[in-house]
Amino acid sequence: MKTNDTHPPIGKPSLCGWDADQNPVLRGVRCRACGEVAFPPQHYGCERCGSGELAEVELAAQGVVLGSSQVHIHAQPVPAVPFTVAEVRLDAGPVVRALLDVGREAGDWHGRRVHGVLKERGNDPVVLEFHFGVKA
Amino acid sequence: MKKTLKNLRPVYVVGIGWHRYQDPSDTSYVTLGLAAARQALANAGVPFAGVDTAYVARALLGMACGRPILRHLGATGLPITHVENASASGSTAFRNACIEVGSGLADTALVLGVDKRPPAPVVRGEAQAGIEQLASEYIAPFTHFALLADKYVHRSGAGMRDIARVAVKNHRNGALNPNAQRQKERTLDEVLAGRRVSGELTVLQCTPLGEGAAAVVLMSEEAIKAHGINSGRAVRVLSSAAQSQAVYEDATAFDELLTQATCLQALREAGVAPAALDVVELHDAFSIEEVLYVEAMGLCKPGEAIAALKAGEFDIGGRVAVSPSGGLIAMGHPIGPTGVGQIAEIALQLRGEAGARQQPGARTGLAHMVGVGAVCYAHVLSI
Repeated sequence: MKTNDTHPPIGKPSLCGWDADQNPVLRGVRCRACGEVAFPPQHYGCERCGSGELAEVELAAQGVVLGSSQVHIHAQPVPAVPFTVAEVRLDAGPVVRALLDVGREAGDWHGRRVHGVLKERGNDPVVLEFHFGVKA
Repeated sequence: MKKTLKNLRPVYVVGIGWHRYQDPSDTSYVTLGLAAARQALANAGVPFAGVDTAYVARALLGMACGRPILRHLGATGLPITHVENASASGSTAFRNACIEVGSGLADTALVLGVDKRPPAPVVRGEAQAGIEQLASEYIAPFTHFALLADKYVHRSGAGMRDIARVAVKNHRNGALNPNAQRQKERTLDEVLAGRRVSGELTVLQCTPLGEGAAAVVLMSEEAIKAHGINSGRAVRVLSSAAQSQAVYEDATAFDELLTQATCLQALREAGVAPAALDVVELHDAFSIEEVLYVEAMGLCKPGEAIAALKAGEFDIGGRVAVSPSGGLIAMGHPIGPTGVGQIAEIALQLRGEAGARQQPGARTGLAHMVGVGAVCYAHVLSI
């Protein structure tokens, strides 16, 4: 989904959004001292070198699936099980985990390229949630 | 120059005790803790009045739960230290007690782990850190380890059916342990046919929720002589290693890399090679963990855990008995007691008193525990 005048709000706007070309992006930080790029963003300090000088950066929401798991037991009714979680190495470096937008389909997603999508979730209110979509 | 435990005066495990790990119940935590403490004191043959210092490990019970237990052994006024370090709480308490006895500040220490499930879920510190996570609400611990299993399957060529053999072995060991929460032998088909939790992990490949208690008594050589204890049953603590998660080149492998660094430190400080270990108790909360950790700590080469498992090398009677207690999968994982219970199991094995689950000729053992966060503890013991 791309932005328009009527899109619902993003559920976790500190973590994701759209870039200037209306493509979903993740938000991270780059350490000004050692260059470490990290996700999720925070300003407490760099985990690699301890510097407090962290700059916010946009991370292209594209990468490769390192592992995935179809979840069969979940404490909340939404999302309904089964759903799939993927661990993805972003092209920008950090490894992130998010829902994989494959519905109830069970599959071997290892090594597949994925890209970020912002999907509507919930009813009251509807929010946009970051997922990874599998590229054809 | 920094010292290791081996540089301090020798520390020995001289008493062990448990309250059976069990499904959540109405049993008071005081009852759980007293049962384990009394059994450990009786096993050591020392009165509570002879204990100089006490450590109480818990991760789920409320603050200051130690004295409400220990006062019923006679309120001697001894120092009581409460320890919380997630799943490694018991291991941490044990390490601190070893250091106190080894340093000479105490001659005799009681280490008690006790826990019960609280009415409401315990909130982790990380969740209160103010750093939003993308999908943490969808990734329970079992899904974290299902992701690790998926990656192991792809890199090793193993199948989930192979990984499930860990659970078969550990349920078989648990069936021989009167203190285990799960005491029923399971076939591979039974393990695989159970309800799927995440990925191919089934319920019988995951540690159960439970409660219980475990205790050990530590002594210096001077105290052993003073109390007239049979030194032939005293188990020496050779080393204690503790580390926390660092920044690794492969951040996705932090579980294995943290375990590897900590266990190799413990073995190095003990002067023991991995191949010399006879018994190992490790953090097998999920079947894939045992596969990853036996490779990480050097019990077999990388990628060879499944072949060793199939060959019976990790069985009781095999090359090295891994999780002879039943491990976290069958013995259980009540959190606070778990690390203490591992030490007690190894002491039992090294004394040659483990009965039907005795590893023949056991002389040296290692206990390994991780705690979410992540922290890792390893202790090497010998007789």
